[in-house]
Amino acid sequence: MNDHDDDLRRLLHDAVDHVTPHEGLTSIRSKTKEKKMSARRPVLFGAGGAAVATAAVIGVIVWSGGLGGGDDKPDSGPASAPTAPSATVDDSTPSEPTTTGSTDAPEPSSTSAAVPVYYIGDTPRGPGLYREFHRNPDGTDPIFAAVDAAIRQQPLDPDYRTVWPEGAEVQEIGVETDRIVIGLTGDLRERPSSISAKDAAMAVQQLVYTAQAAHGQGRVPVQLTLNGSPSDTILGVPTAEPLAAGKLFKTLSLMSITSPAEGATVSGSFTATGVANSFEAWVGYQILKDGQEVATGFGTAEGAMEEKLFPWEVEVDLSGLAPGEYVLRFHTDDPTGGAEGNGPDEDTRTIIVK
Amino acid sequence: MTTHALPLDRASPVTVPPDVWDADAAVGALYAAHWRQLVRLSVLLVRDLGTAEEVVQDAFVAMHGRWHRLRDPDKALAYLRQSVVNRSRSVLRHRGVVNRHLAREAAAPLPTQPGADQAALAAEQRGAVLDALADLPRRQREVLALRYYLDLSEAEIATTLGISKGAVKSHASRGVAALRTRLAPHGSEELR
Repeated sequence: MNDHDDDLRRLLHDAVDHVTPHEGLTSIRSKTKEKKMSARRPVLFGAGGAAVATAAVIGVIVWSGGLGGGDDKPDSGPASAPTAPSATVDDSTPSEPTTTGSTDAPEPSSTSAAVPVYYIGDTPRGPGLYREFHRNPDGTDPIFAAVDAAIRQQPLDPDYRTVWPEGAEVQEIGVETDRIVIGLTGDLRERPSSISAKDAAMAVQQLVYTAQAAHGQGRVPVQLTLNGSPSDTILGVPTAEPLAAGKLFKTLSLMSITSPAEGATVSGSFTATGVANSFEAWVGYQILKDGQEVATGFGTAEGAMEEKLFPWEVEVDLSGLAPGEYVLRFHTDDPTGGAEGNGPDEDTRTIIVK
Repeated sequence: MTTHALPLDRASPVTVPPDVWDADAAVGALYAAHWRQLVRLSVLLVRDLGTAEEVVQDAFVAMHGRWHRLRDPDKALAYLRQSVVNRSRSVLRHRGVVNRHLAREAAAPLPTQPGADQAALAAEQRGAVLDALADLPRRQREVLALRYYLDLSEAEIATTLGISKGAVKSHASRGVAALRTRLAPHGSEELR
């Protein structure tokens, strides 16, 4: 810091140091009390030595009660966005991975281990979004890190893609009470002929879903701006107004594997996790070696019949498999056996059995 | 020169360490240590004391609601800062450009007579600085306030604003240059 910095420091201090705020604690107290009275926080913290443990438990109760925001787990928290209103609980922001742990990230001064990032893949209904979790080791703002990854990083799964053109960049993220603003830069107004109209629409939805998931406060509208101001189109997709997340069946893959990650080494039996929306909550898997099925199994998701993705956990049995590289394929149920509709949604991972 | 009061020492009963504060105790302690500074931060951003007080009150209410997840005075303070910046931004957006100018007029110091005394001159200069800040692009204003008023590091500013460190740098340098340009006609010695 040089003299020049000191000048600025003095100038800003001079500008406001004479300001004497009125007493505000009374008003704060009355507002926090109001919240308690309205049973938004049903339990008060315990006292003394028990307080820490109690607080942890209460945290779970409070969050799973759907009070503060749209996340589906207590520790998938928001917080880069203190101002967001209590959004509707919406589990279509799928649950956090159980394997990568520490998604306790978004508290402002803590670091985030993993952020949710959506990529485009193919579904029976055309291009659709799949979710991956990417590391965010340096504690960058989770929304920024996630959106930046969606645009510029290659997906971990080679079956997915991002179609954002070279030079596209996220410049800034703004979180406001009623929207998330994603500031993009680049020559992005028109859709290049190399990108299909469907992929372009998905690319825009990719940012909407990614920002909402990283924000963790439900389906907050997302405003895209281009080079500093709103743009009538981005990649040829109308973006003048804040965007809502696209309808589930038109936008997301109905089967998305959270763990294992692509190329993971596994042995014995292990628990795979993901999200799905499948007939009667049925979740099936196959293990393939050189395209040939060598094992199958199934489990169930936590629900079905609503327009959202439900978490699932399925124990995958590897017994009898020789060490080597396999493809693990999870798929939804197709009650018609392919006679009607588009067939099942699926997601695959390469796994190394040792 | 800034008042980086530690959040702990003042308000809470001495016997209760911060890690077992309940939400009410946390609000009390952080209020005692940071209320004034946070309101001043918001004044730099929104230009209006009444608005700034509301913004910071709401930030404390939000922090109270999240204490079970923060449970740490440093995290809570970081959360408060971020909340104050975000809420100040929302207020500006909703107030709109026209109203902002009106509010600025209303809040401006009384016009001073030529040859007015020292205090009035100082008031005018303060008003000029706030006006100049208000005219800057939002990000530049935020970065300058966090850097030169709160003395935050680049990394802290990046986290608070949800932007990269590189962006903090560029907003800071552009903001400083713009502020200098805007203040030059007011005869501000400091920025020559």
